[in-house]
Amino acid sequence: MKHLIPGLIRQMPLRIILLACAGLILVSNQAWADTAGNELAQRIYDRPDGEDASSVVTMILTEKGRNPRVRKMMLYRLDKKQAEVSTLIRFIEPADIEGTGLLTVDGMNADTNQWIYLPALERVRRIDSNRKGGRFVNSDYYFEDLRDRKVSKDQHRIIGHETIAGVTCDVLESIPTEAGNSVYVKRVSWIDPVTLLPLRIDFFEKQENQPSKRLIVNKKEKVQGFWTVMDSTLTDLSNGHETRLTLGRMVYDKHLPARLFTSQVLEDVNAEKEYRP
Amino acid sequence: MQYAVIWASKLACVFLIQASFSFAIAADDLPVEDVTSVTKSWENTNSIAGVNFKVDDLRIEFGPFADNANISTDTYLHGAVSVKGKSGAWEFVLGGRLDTYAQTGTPGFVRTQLDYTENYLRWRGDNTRITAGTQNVLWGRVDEISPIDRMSRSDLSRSFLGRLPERRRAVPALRLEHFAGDYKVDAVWLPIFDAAVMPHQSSAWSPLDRINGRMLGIGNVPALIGAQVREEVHGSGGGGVRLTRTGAGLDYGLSLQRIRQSQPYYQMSPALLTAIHPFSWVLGGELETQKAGATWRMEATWSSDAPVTTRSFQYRTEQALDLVLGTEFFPGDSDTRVTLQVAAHKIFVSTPTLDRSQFYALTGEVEHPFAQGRWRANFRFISGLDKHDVYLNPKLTYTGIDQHEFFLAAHVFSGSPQTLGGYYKHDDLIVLGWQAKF
Repeated sequence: MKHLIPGLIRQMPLRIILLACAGLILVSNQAWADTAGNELAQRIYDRPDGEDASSVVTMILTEKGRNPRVRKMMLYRLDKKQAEVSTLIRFIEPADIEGTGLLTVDGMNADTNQWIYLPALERVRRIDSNRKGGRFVNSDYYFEDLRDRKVSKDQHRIIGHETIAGVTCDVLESIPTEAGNSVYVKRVSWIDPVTLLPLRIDFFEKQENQPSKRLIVNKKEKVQGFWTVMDSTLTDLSNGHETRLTLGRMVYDKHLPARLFTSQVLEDVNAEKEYRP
Repeated sequence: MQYAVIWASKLACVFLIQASFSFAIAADDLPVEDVTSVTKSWENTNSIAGVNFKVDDLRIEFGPFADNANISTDTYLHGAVSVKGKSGAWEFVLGGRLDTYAQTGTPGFVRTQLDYTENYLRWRGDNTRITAGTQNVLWGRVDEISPIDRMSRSDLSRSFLGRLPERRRAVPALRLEHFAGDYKVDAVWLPIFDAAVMPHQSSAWSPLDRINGRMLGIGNVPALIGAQVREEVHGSGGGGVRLTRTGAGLDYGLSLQRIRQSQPYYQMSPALLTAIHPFSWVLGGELETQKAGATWRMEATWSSDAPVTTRSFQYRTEQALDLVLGTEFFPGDSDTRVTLQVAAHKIFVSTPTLDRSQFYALTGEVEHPFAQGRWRANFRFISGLDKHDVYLNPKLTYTGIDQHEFFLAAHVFSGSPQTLGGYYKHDDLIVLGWQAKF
C-alpha cells in the first residue's frame, strides 16, 4: 500500500500522482478500461522504491502578488510488510508549526490509522483517516493526495502518447470505479515509460473536460538506483495558487526501525532527529 | 510594563525585517538550486553549538470592555523564550515567561509577572524517558474541559479567554515515561506544590468580586464584601500514574491520581476567605476512536473529595463524577473543522450547597480557514444545558505572514448568577491582537 506522502518520500509529488493515477489494479470487467492501461498502472504501483526512505522536503506556497510561504518537513516511510506502510511527517519550519507531526499507519486490510501531534497541545490526537477533501497545511494537496490509492479504485486506460520535455509519454486516464471513493472524477497522467514516473498529472474535480489542478514534475533524479522526483509544482488552475515541493536530501534503505513510526516518537520531537538524512 | 512593550516591539521589528528580506525574491522565479539555497538560509538560525534559542511566543492583546460602566480597557502582553540543548542521551530546557496585565477604568491596575516555563533535565533511553524539573504535563484527550487534566498548573489570569493549552502552565515534577509497544506508562510526582496563576484582585477576570460580594460558581454572597483573602500554599502537589494504549482502531487510557487542585477553593469564615487546595483521589478513564467520518473522544473521572460549601457556610468534601464526550469532524469533507463536547459534572452531596452541585454544558469550536489559508475564522462557545450560561468567542485571524497572526476577537458572556456567563455578563470584551513565534 502506498501513500501520497510516502510517495513524496519516494518520488516526491509524483508518487502522489502515480498512486493517484496508478491507483491501479485492473478492473477487467470494465468495458472501457484497457489491459495495457491497467498493466501500466500496476507497473507504476509496483515500481521499486526501497524498503524505507527518509527525506527533507521543502514546500513553497505561492500566490500571485504575495510573498511565498515556506514549510520544511522531514518525511519517513517504512514498508513493514506487503501492503503495510507507515509514514511519519515532522514539520521543522516555520516556527509556528515546528514540531507538528503526522503519523499514518496503513494496514493490510485498507484500514488506516492516523494521529497528529500538535506542540501547542502537547498531545497526540487521533484524526479521521478517511478524510479525502480539505487542504493539507493550506497547500493545493488534498488529504486524499497524501494517501495511498489502490489500483482497483480506478479504471485505467491509455488514451494516447504525447511528448513532454523531450520524453514520449503514455497518457493514462484513471476514473474512480465508485463516485464516492475520490474527490476527483478523473485523473490524466503523462507517464515516462522508462522511469515510470508521471511527468504531468491533470486532476478533474467536477467536470470531466476541465482540469482543476495540474502537477508538473520539474526535475527527476536517480537516487541509489531509484528514480525520484526532486522538484514538482502543483497548480490550482482556477486561481494560479501553486504548491512547489523540492527534495533536499533523500536516502533509501536506511533500515529505519519500526519504533520510529509509533506514538512514542510522534510525541517526542527530538526522537526522530538521529534518523534524519 | 513600558520596558516589556519596547522589548517586544524591537524584537518583532527585527524578525519582520528578516522575514521580508528573505522573501524579497519570489521562490517561484528561482531554479531548483536557488530554491534550495533560500531554504537553507532558514536552517539553524537560532542555534549555536547545538544549543537552540527560541522565542516561543510573543503576544499583544488590547481592547475595550463593551458593556462595563466602570472598567474601560484590557491589555495583555506576553513573551516566552527558551534555550534547548542535547548531548547524547541527555537534554535540557531552560525557559521563562513575562506577562503584563493592565486594566484602565475603575478599578485600574498594571501588573507584570515573571514565571518559569519548562526548565528540566531529561535522560532518554530506547523506551524510557526520565525528566526532572518544571515541565508541562497535560493528561487527557478532550478539548476545553478535560477532567483528567489535573497535573498541570492552571492559568486563570484571564479566566477562560484562552484555549485549554493557554490556560495551563508548567509544574515542578519528576516524571518517568516508559513505552512498551503500543502501551505507555506515565508516572508523575509533584514534589513541590505550586498554585494556579490568578488574576489581579482588581481584574475583571478575578473569580472574587469583593466590592459587590460575588464569587464565580456561587453567585452573590454579600458576606464577601470587604473580606480578606489568605492563601494556603505548602507541601507537595501529589502524583499519579497513567497507562495509555495507542493502536489500531482504538486509543484508551486509565489513570489514578492523588492530586491537589491548583486552582483555589475559597473556604469562608467571617470576613475571611482562605484559598485552599484540597487533595483528592482521581480515577480516570479515556477513549478515542474514529467512526462515521469523525473522531470521538471521551473522558470520565471519579473524584473522592470535591470541595463544597453548605448554605450554612460549612466546608466539606464529597465524591464527584465528571464525564465529557467529544467529537471532531469536517463537514462536507471540507477545510472547516468542528469540535463539540458535552460535559457533565455532579457532586454527590445530600445537603444544599452554595456551589453548583451539578452542571451540564455543550462546548465547541468551528474553525474555517479561507483565502488559501491566509485567513481563519473561529467561533468558540460554551453553553449551559441546565442553566442559562453562554460564552461566545468569535475570532478573525490573518495568517498570511508566516509565524505571525493578527486577530480581532470578541468575548461575550450572559447567564444566571451562579454560572460563568452570568458572573462575567458585564465584561464583554473586544480584542485586537498580534501573536508570533520565532
